Amino acid sequence: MGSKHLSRAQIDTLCQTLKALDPGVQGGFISAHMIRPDPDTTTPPSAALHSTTPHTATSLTATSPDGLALTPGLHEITAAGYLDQPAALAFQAGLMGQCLPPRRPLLWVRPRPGPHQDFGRPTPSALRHWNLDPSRILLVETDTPEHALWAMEDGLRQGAWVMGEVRNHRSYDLTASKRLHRLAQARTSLVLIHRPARLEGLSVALSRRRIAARPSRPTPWQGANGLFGLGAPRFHVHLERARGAPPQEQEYEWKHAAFHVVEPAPVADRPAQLPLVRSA
Amino acid sequence: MSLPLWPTDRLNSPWSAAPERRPRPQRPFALVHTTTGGERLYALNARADQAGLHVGQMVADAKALEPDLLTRPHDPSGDTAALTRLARACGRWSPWTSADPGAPGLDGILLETTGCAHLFGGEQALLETCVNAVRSHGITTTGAIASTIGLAWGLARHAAPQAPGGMLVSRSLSPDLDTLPVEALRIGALASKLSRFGLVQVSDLLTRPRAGLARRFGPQLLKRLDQAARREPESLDPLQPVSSYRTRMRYSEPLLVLDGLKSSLAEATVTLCRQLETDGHGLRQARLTLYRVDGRTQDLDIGTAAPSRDAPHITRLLLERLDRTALDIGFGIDMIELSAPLSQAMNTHQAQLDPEHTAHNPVADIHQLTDRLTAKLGGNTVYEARFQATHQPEHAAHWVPLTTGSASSPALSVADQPGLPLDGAPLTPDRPLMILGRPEQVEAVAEIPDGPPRSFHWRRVHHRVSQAEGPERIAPDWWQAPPGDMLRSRDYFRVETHEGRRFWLYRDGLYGLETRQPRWFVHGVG
Repeated sequence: MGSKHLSRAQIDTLCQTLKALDPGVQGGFISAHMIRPDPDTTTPPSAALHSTTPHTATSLTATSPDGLALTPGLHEITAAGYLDQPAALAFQAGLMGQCLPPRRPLLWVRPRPGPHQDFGRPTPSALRHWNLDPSRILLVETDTPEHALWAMEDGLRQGAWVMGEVRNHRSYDLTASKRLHRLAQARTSLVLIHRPARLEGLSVALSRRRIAARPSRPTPWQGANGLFGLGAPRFHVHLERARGAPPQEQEYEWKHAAFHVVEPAPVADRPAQLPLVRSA
Repeated sequence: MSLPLWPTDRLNSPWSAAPERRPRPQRPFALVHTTTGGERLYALNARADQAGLHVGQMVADAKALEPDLLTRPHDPSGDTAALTRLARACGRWSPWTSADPGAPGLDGILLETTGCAHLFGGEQALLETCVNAVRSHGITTTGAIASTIGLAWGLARHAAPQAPGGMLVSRSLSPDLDTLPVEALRIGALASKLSRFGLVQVSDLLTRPRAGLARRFGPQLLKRLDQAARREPESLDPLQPVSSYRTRMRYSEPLLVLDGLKSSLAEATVTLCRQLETDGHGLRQARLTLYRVDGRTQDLDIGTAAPSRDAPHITRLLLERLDRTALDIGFGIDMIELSAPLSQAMNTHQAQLDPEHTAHNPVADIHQLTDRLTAKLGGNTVYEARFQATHQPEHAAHWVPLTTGSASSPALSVADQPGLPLDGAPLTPDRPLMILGRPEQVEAVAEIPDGPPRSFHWRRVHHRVSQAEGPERIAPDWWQAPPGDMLRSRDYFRVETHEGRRFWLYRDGLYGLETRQPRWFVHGVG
């Protein structure tokens, strides 16, 4: 890991941006690999996710060596098990928060909470910690899976990005997923569908990630009565399916802090790196 | 319009809720109600009336007189509901209609015909059209048109039955009012008291000193008198929301399929939008009323998230609403009415010269999307986040349904910069991504008095805590609690288990101070 101080002018710019953003908090996934400040935008790099396992897999695309910059179309998230579903939802929210461009509304389509609804509703204030602005989200709760698909398609047509939760149901099949995928591609938007841990039925998703929670690194301070505080959330991500790439497994960490940039040391078999930047 | 035999007639009409078991008009039929001394007749049909029965008679006596008599219990709420439906159906003659239920024999419908009569070729023609249409459903009807509600009420019930055709149009106020009996003043039982004093006609009252009448018979008499004589204003309370924007389409032949309706709907919307544009308004609510040939009506409401007079958009919302409704066309639809009960001033926006911006207006898009989702999927489907200044975590940030068409606009914003907080959104401590609909009690092992849980049992799985943060103590809203109700503080902990799963638990009550055996609840995950 290398690090270098920012120049004075850069620090000033970042401080101004920070003031403008305050008290909004930014978060983001850091991969071991890649996130660096984008010189073209005034928005600072959000926080980041870094992979804690040595990263050896080949790149998915030229722009997303870590496979987290999703190409327009349909992508799927699923959980490794029943109790990993909240983690999968959190990963989904963070991923969407990282990809959602400015000025785009987000449609979150989910089945209506019923007696068998497992984990309640998303908390608006918590969404900010996953880089999603709650004021841009329309939450849609539908009674039937068909309505959910209809709402997602309509949202895509209207230019929204879509986060969906579908249950195993015959309505979500190859045809339905292809329709969503085509619509999203045509409007360069993203559909991120959360599917149950036990998958049934086919889909044309570009990628599918299976998420499991991983213990976080304990904080250096005590959280409560002798227990350490909660570190940054960590996820084990199994990329089960990806077009044009082999399956791979990675670990990611969600850094919920502004200007947190972590980069790996450059190794031989890599393209030339820009000067490495690391700030507290 | 007076409907003297409404309780019995309505059972055969399309406005009755229970169409099965219809009594045939050829048989004597009566509605009965239970009063002191047993069951008595409440209302009779024409055949029973001819047989010499009268209202208030004991059922046993009536059956002795007329062994064929068919009886059924009286259903006052059903009467009123059916009367309201009839009043709605009368909306085809006037936008302002109202049901006027009364004692047996005094039921009626009120129509405000100001400005409507010329559309039907004058008041006489309008009255004939209305009364004949209602009569065609087998309902005994008399009607009158007059310049005040009070006078029309009295004329329809007391003068019109003697008039040719059972219809009467009052040309001037005073002679018509003078000759009416005092019962025509809507004063109920007071009328019989007046008759005992020899005050039989309204003219008798008008010649008496007012102070004496008020002292002897109460203020109600004078009020009704003044209302009938237009000395005191009275207006009817219309069933339809009052709207200055409305458009109607009549069909020469009743529509039996929806295709024709859908195509004409687009035309009606354009007309309505043109009306709105004249005033610089945009509609927030629209109501499509379908009038069926058999006299029933059906309302379809839509709402918009922001004022709109975009005809294709509104048409699309209406069509989606139509598709969502299980529509019973019956024998066909012969008229539709489109109105805008709620509208707001709407400013036109300068079209942007930048083609990129013109093509894509995110706020307008999001409003249109909301409208369409609500129109298609129904209310309580689309939610937006709202923040409140409260410490109770489940209320501090929550989702409220976007009821499009309500007076307030949604607070949705599509900010250029992500991450900016909403106006008034308080900075909240860390919250779990998902909050359970209701907290779930768990068996937990925790340090006494206020340590974090070390392990707990939730949904049949044993969770061992490896990291924890807390407590975040949240006191209850004691000032809102009902007196005597002891609310407990909650100590919230964020914990992570050995597997890396995160939970949000609280202990209900402070140990020792508020409770001896605190219970633990899981309130959020993720």
